[in-house]
Amino acid sequence: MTGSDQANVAVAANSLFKNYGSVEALKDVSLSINDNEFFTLLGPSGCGKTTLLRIIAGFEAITAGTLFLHGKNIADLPANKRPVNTVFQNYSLFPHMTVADNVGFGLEMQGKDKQHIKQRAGEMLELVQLGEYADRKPSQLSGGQQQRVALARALAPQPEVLLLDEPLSALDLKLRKAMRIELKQIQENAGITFIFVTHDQEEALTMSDRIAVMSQGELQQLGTATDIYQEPKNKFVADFIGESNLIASTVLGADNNSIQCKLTDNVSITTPNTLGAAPGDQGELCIRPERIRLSNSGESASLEGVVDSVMYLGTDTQVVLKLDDKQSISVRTQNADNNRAVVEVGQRVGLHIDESSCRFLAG
Amino acid sequence: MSGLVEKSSFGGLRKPLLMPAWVMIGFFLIIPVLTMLVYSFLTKEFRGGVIWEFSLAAYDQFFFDRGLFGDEPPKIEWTYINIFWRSIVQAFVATIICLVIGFPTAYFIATRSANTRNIWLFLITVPYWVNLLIRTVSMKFLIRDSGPLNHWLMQAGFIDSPIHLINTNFAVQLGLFYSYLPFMVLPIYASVERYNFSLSEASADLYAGRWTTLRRIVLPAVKPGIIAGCILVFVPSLGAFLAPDLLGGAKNFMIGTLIEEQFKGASGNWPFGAAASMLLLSLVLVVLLFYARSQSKQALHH
Ligand SMILES: Nc1ncnc2c1ncn2[C@@H]1O[C@H](COP(=O)(O)OP(=O)(O)O)[C@@H](O)[C@H]1O
Ligand SMILES: [Mg+2]
Repeated sequence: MTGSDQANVAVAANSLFKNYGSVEALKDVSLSINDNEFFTLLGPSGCGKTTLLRIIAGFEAITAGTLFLHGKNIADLPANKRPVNTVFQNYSLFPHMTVADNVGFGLEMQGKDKQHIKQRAGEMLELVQLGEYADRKPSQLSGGQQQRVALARALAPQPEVLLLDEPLSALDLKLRKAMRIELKQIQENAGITFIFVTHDQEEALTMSDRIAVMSQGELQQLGTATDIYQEPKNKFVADFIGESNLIASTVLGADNNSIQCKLTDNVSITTPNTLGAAPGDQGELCIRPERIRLSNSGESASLEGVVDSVMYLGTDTQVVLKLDDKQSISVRTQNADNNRAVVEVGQRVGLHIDESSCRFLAG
Repeated sequence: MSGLVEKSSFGGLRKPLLMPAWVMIGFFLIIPVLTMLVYSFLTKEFRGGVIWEFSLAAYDQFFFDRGLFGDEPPKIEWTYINIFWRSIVQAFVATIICLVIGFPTAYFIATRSANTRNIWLFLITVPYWVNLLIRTVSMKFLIRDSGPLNHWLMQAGFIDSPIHLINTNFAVQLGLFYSYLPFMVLPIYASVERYNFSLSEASADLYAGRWTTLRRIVLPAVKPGIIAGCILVFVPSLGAFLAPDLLGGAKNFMIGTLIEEQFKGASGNWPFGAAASMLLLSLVLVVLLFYARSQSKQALHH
């Protein structure tokens, strides 16, 4: 990494390890987060997201590794000296203070004068549309409102990086979806780096500039939403992000650009060779359900199956089929118009797989 | 919500189920206090006991000096008021000492792991399985001029001659502190244990140092425990008689000792003891009332 790059890097973590006794919460995690980026840590519960966030905030010490904030080593800096603020999962608003005092607390601790604190707290509350609630106590607010106060409180001191630990998980679906858009807008307007933790892949895909997928304390893949959805690096990512058919497969032939993978005994699929597979490699073929089209048996298809179940899901319909070798495969068809092809359980249909979208995952 | 459920599920059994509580309160609170109140307005019998004749003599004796034969114009009697005042100061100081030592202790225990907490709590309460009288006598033995404390200090070369501790205010304080420390530690422990420590993290996250976090975030949150602890130490300290009597001697007379003497032997004066008790009780009630007022004011703010 050159010096000029470093100016744009907000947080750089190198080979971070964190042990709690015998529990390895983080294993060799390295990542760098850019200025003004909406960066998401995504992974199932217990994978170490909160641990990583708490290490950046300064609540946990690092077992091994280095941590830089805008080029400055902060590994040994106590939490109250780090220009980083957190929106806590349970909000952690100070119950005995008014909303305005909560929002002004950080500025007060920074030694700002009263007038400035009052003005800035007011601005922040306007930003989260809670201007009229300044004099209330947190207990007099709804969950969604408390969540906004927590956000305003963390934004008020203008931190270099804002950390958000599953801030939307306690809200109901509708509010959650509205807040996604709002958070994204606030991040863009404030020009602050956001590090956002979630276990909800939809949330991650819709909001993030880049996503770090984690599992069992390890970084699995780092990339844009499109990257991790379309180019999953391993089985975990393919499985965790969206839905996928993971079908045991062997590489039959390969060159620099493409590989042929076995799908069934007599059908193979040609996919881009993005991960450098070689003939004979064992692994799984990742086929996204929405990249398969069904046809009535009249149309010629290289692959056929029998419909096992049909589930209507509103925007689309999920069809599960059994291939001739008893392998199950799931297909999603959009309900874009009223004259969609209706399939019935037990019907024999043809499958047309968009082969260029499939990926072979070794391992 | 839960109240509604409870009411309906107990139905007609509510009154009978509350009976034991009412009997307890009646027998152990209302009847004794009323007895005292009545006695304080009776005439004293010289060999202890009372004559059933209404009299204000006890209260008069407490507040006014009418000379040896009771025929001079009344002056304010300062003796008993001074004893009250000294008791209040002693109890207040004892409360502060218990708070200053009890708070860090409680905080320390509440921040240990769940298993070690119980061991610490057990250790705090162990001495209290022994009778207070015995503990106070042991304390007297420990700190007297020829006692082990002075012996060790002299042997270790810290002092040349014994420090005189017994029959001092300091000894009384020590006795009160030792008697009532757990009453401070336990309620504070209970409230610190319930305290959500992520609030301290939020405070540090917003640039507050440790002391600021303690003062601005932790203390307001655990205030109910602190107030409960202070009341639980202040009230019995105010009426304590063992520590002042055994460790303080005649000079450091407190209300408790004064009252105790009125009911002991032939020199006693039951109506006067009862009147002093009623005045002490009123004092305690005033303190509690102030506390209740401040609590309900806070509740209004919420
Ligand atoms: N204070 C702690 N003591 C012991 N183990 C912990 C502690 N905090 C977290 N862990 C463990 O570390 C792992 C990662 O936890 P966490 O970072 O909270 O996961 P996530 O936020 O992704 O759900 C889990 O196995 C968890 O049990
Ligand atoms: Mg978590």
